[in-house]
Amino acid sequence: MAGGILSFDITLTRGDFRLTACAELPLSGVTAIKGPSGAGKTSLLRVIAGLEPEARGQVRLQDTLWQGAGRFVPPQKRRIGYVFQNTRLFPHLSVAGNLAYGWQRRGRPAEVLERVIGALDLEPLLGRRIEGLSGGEQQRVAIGRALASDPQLLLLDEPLSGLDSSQRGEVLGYLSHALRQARVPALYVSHFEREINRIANRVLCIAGGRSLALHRLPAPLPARVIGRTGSSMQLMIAGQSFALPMPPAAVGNEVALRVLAQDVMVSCSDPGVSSALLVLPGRVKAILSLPSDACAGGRKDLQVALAGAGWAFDLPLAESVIRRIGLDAGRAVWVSFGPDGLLPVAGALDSPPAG
Amino acid sequence: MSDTWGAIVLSLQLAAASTVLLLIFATPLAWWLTTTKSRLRPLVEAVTALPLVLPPTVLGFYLLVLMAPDTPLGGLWLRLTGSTLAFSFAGLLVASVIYSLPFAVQPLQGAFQNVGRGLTDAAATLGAGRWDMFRSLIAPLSRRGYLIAAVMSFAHTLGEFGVVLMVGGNIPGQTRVISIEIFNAVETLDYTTAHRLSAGLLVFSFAVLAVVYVINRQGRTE
Repeated sequence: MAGGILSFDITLTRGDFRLTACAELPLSGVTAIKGPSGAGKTSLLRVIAGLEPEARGQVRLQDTLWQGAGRFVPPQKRRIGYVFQNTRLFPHLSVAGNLAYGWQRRGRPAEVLERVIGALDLEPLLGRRIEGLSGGEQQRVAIGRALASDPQLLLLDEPLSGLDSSQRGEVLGYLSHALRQARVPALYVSHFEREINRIANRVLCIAGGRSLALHRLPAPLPARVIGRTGSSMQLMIAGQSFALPMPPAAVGNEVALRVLAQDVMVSCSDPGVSSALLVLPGRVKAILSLPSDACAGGRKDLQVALAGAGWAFDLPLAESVIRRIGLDAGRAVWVSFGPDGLLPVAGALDSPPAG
Repeated sequence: MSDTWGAIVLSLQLAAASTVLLLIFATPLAWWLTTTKSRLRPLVEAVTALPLVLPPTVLGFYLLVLMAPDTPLGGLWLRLTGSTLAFSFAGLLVASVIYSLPFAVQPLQGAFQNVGRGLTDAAATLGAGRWDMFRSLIAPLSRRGYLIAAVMSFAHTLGEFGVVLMVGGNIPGQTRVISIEIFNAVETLDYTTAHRLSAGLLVFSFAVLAVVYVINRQGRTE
């Protein structure tokens, strides 16, 4: 699957609504699709799945033309998995029956089903009926049902939106684990910034029925695990240690942290002792212009490349802010991370292929 | 008395055979009506519902005309079987199926629609084609609809009079069903038989409707 591409150039008209989307997405990791509600995120997934036969244009998965040039491959002949917002589990079948539905029809080997059941911890639920399951359990079964069909592409339409925040974290953990195991590329519709930052490698923005820009999320910061305190892990970056609430990780391992720009501050003098989670001294390497980002609401941001001893990342900052505090290349800065400035990446990174 | 028993047995045979045929014909028709985007759909729906509003005599009259030996249908039947379609059990069966069609199609169509686009879309993304989807998803989720369709078809066929009289006439053991036997009994002032048969049909119909409403109620509360 590595190196493949999903490309589409489609329009879908329904009443007053018109969706125009054109992009080439690499078939690796997770591509988040974000945008305001009503922007056409779900419609785009439905077109890719073949559930909107009225859509015009082309959809191509690697060398297979799914739609275009007078050809239309119906959804049952596209090897996709679709996880819907409201689970859509089959009420007359048990959990096992739901999981086997697509697996059987796609004729996949038994290992696939066993692997999915293991990754999502579904073994204890197999004999249960759908009605008795909690929201989080239902969504886990729905993810399992889609993955058990061993799809070439997984489409996830706000799979966590119906859940409360504790279930959301739990299902997200399971989901990223299962995606990593199955090594299946995914499109993930969401408008929750936190979810996207935890799971996605890149973001496709949609606004007003038009797909706009594909952004690569900045490479995460590596940190070393040095200990554990309660529900937090003690981490170290550039000789500085700090505690971050996160799932347990083995001491000595490296974890990847996503930098969330909205909770990061840059100072031109040493802030000294502060309430920040972590303060890293460093330098501005360069200031780069960033293509106008519709997802940022049309605000003009510049990308400030920051680096220090053993770390580097780009931070988007408003042009006016950069001018006000007088940032330019070579300037010494102190970067403060607030409590929400660093987020452990849940997985599905473009990691080097395992042996 | 043997005439009365003959009428009861004949009625039950007719109702059972009609019900089986109706479920076989109504399933694809109701499925088509549920899924089609054709502009013909409202017309087909109207034709299907016609027996609900037409006087049975009108329907019976046209069927009688259609079954006459000098029409293509009547002629073909005569060549194949050596007897006329009108005034026979087979003719009665054809008429009953047409007459009770809406009672089978409408509950099935309702049940199929209830399954909803959400689940059929999900089944399609999991690799289910049309027929597979019907077998694995639509039919099992429409069990209640099938039960109601069967009960209503059976009861409605049992109670018909006008169409039977027009198409079947009044031949003992062949086309004389309960409702016609009641008419005969009243004609000959045999009120005892008329009472017994009428009360039987009344109780049976009430029981059937009660069962249908109980099933419906369970469907709503589940």
